[in-house]
Amino acid sequence: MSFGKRFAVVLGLILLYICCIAFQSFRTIVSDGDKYRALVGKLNRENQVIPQVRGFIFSDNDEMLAGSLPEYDIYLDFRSTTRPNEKGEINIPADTINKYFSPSGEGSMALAKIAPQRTAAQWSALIQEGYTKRNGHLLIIRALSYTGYKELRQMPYFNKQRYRNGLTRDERAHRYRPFGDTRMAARTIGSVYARKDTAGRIGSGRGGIELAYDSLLRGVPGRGYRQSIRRRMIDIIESEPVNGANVHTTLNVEMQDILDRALGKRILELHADGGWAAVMDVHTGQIKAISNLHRTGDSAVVEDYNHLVEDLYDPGSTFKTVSYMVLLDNDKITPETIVNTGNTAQNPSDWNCHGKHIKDDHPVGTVTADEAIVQSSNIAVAKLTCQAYESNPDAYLAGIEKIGMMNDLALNCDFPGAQAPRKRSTKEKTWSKVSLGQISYGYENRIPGLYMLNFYNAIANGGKLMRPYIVREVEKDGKVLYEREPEVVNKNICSPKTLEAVRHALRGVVEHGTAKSINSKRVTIAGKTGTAQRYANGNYDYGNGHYVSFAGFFPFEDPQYSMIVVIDVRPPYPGRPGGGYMAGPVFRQFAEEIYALHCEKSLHDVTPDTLHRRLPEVKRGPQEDTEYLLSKLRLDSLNFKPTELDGVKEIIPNVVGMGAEDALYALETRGLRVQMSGMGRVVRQSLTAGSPAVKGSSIELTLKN
Amino acid sequence: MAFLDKFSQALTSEDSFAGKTPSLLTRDFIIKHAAKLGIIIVAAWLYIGLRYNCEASLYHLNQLKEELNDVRYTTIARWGELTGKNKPDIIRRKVLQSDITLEAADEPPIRVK
Repeated sequence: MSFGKRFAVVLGLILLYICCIAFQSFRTIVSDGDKYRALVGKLNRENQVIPQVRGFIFSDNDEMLAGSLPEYDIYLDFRSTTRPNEKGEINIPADTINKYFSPSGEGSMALAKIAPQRTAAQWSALIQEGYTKRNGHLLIIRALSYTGYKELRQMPYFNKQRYRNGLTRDERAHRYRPFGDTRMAARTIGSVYARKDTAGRIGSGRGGIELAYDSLLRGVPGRGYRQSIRRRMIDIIESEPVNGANVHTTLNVEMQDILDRALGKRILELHADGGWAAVMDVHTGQIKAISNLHRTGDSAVVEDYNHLVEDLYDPGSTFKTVSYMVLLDNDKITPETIVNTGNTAQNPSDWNCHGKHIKDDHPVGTVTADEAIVQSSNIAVAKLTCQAYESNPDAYLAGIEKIGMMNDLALNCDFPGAQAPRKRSTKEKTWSKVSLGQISYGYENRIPGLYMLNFYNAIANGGKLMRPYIVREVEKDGKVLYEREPEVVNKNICSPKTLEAVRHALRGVVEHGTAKSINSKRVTIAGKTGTAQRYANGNYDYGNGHYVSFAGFFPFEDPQYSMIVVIDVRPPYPGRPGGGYMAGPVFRQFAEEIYALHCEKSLHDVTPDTLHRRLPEVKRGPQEDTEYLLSKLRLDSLNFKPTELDGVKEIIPNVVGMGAEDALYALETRGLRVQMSGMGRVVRQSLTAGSPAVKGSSIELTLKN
Repeated sequence: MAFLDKFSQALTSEDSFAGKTPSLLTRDFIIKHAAKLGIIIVAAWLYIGLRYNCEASLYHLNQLKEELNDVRYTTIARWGELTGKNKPDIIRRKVLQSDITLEAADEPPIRVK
């Protein structure tokens, strides 16, 4: 065949081949195009959301109060293994299931360990049943933690690859709270939507600080697409996710724990419906602890919604302090002003104030204004207020306004849903002739508990009304985005003379008044009791229940913390309702524990023992510190002759008689590894004093009291 | 066959497309376009190599991210666990239940210096 012919044949075959390719491509695009587009879509997933990490919430000393972790719902697909059958489905061999999920099989035991709500036998039955039914989506564990999932994946059967064991999972972000969801200011901290709510929100704040600071905590998700690389689906990031900022609160874990414990215990003792309490740092207005507890049974209380900021209630007798302050500051009375209640033990009586019969809880007879507060006499306070302001009640309301405690502090920036006090006005339709008297001893004014606490805090703070706050800082990657400083809302709620008189009365309440049952020998408490009937079914009635309360501060000489406790007691009452003996014990327990932990005395508070002139027992330790202490305690005239410790670093010193800290220091500076047992002073050391100190060698110390 | 003859004549005559276009895969052609062919080969080699490296890097990056996430979540989980176990009330109860003779202080400390 000539060259030309050969060339023509070859070229013709090539052209035919090209035509076949073109025809097949055309056929693929037209008839199989959808199938392959779907396959590409499966392999290359575009517009994937790359989730961000929500910011942390911390306590005042950076302990985690809330953080984000994934959690998983675990499923088993009993249709997965390596070889597909004719239908394209794939099955796990029966002998594999029988081997691992018999009642004593490794798989059953693993599940029983990870999820102990079922025994191994029960897990075996569940899995076998699921396998028999060829269940492709059997839920076995719901809401498994991250560490739980890691542990599961290391266990027999579950450590195989996915197509060999049928393990699948649904992952979601979980807001993890180390102290649980039912205590430790859980409602104040808030929560997030774990699943989509009706508005389609997921992972966004749901109440509390989580909601108030959601825009900062949330962060911004990233975008990307998924692509198969080396048989694994990889996220290719187009825009990086921006993690959320961290919120630092003013809450103190120790104080919160003590408050929860004390309040919870008292609620259960009284069989009360619930109670709420908060603690403020006097000088800054920081909220150090806040509890809102609701009794759910005979032995359990859980965090309820934030009553302290969201509830409006009649403050009761705790408001008498406000009336007393207004009367004193406007020179209507002095602490020595006499008032006759007309109610004595021999002749019990009430006071008819324009048709309203005002009663006292116990007869007080004729008292001074100061004593009226100490004994919490409704009649006395109402009489004094009406006598002074009946002709001009607006002046009384103006006096309250001047204090500033009823002004809206816009606390919803930290506490979503926070209410402002409802101020009364003479222009209101509901104002009547009895209103002045009723307001004076704590009714008709509806106030959130936090505002009452803020008022008592101002009394403790030398007359400065602060803005309460619970978030002190928001930072991201160490950079501070937002910082809050203490803010003075009103520099002087009253004159210094009035303030002194009010403080004296509050101390008297605890020393010999309605709260004398909580007068502590350890820490000086000052405050006011309150007992207010609940407003329900259109009226105030003894049978509706009572809000019993105590608000005050401690220690009286140099106030550090102010606190309010309110308990909601319902009939049948365990005694006559009273703030002093019902709410007061919570205050006292908290004050005593915190005083010992968070306050300190100075040497000036210590009175030297001049009767017994002998050297106190002194542990062996730093000579300089010991001499300083003895001189400050004025005991340095005693015969104190310290023996110097051998300072040679290569020799093991004699540490017998030393305390743990000093012995540790003396030995570790010589390069020794110290192991201790017991408590108190060192009574025995395993290596002899004076022998060479070999760096890295171990020495055992036995300590005893 | 006549068709084939005519076709081959048309292809091989000097006036035809085949006659006017240069022959491919001839020695002269390859020598003349050696540089261009070299560039194409080098570019293809670079592309394949870089793409492979890129995919390997993405794979490695993904593995590192998974490790980082694992460390992060494990740290948070352990930190949270320790924080919860250090709740003062839990420690207080453990001390009470044990034979440790520690007691909570009921007086504040005295600051010496």
